[in-house]
Amino acid sequence: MRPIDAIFIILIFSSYLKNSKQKYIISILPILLFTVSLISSYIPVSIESFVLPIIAIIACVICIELAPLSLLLLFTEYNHLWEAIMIPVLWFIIMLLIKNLNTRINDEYIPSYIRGFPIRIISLGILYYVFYPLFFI
Amino acid sequence: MMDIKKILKSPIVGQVRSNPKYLWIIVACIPLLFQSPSSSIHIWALGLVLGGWIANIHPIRWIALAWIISVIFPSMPFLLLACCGALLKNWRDCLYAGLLGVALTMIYIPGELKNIGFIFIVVGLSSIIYKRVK
Repeated sequence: MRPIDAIFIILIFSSYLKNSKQKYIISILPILLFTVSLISSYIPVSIESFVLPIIAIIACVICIELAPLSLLLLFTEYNHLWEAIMIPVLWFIIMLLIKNLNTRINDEYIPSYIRGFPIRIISLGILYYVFYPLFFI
Repeated sequence: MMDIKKILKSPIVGQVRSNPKYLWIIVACIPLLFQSPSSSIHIWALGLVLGGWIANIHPIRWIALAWIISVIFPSMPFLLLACCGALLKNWRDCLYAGLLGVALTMIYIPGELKNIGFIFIVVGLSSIIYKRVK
């Protein structure tokens, strides 16, 4: 799965989690995983299959609140360091944008059947296409 | 020191999960984004249904179950099942996501549309139509 897809899945799931400080901790997971993939050739074959489950368990134990999202970050493929760095950066930029958008998309002039979840998910879908070219730099 | 038992029983984990009932659709689309072969999606769906019953809201149980299944069926990446299961709220959502995931493998979707932006827009529009009709 591409990192940008992972960010947006995280955003749709984490938009309901308020004031979690653990998001700062799990944002370093992509860089950690990229580092592990760099040194994977030095890891003995006998313990190679245990590396990912152990990292997953540690990530879940450290970030209880965001355990499902940490698993999603571990599941993503990072081909370049740029992608691993872009994940937390883009995550926080889009979170700020959504915070700004939330006041507008919940206004009364928006029809009740569009307000809330439908307009939020469509906005995220459009934002996806806005930020998509960043991963081709 | 954190207690594993507390983590397993923690209600906080549930907070991250979907409030709206439509988010299982997005979980069902995750194998599609991963472009897994259809055989592994069937195993993933079975694992999801089994996990919905055994693991439910406990992420560490999901990791254990997914790892065991991936040992038996190496074609299925273990984090695919672990992360999908952990994102879901209850066994009913697991069942729905598993069924939809299998159904999606039977439909031809062009590679260009296999991205989360397109899925979000489709889910959003479907929920608008559903709300309007309802």
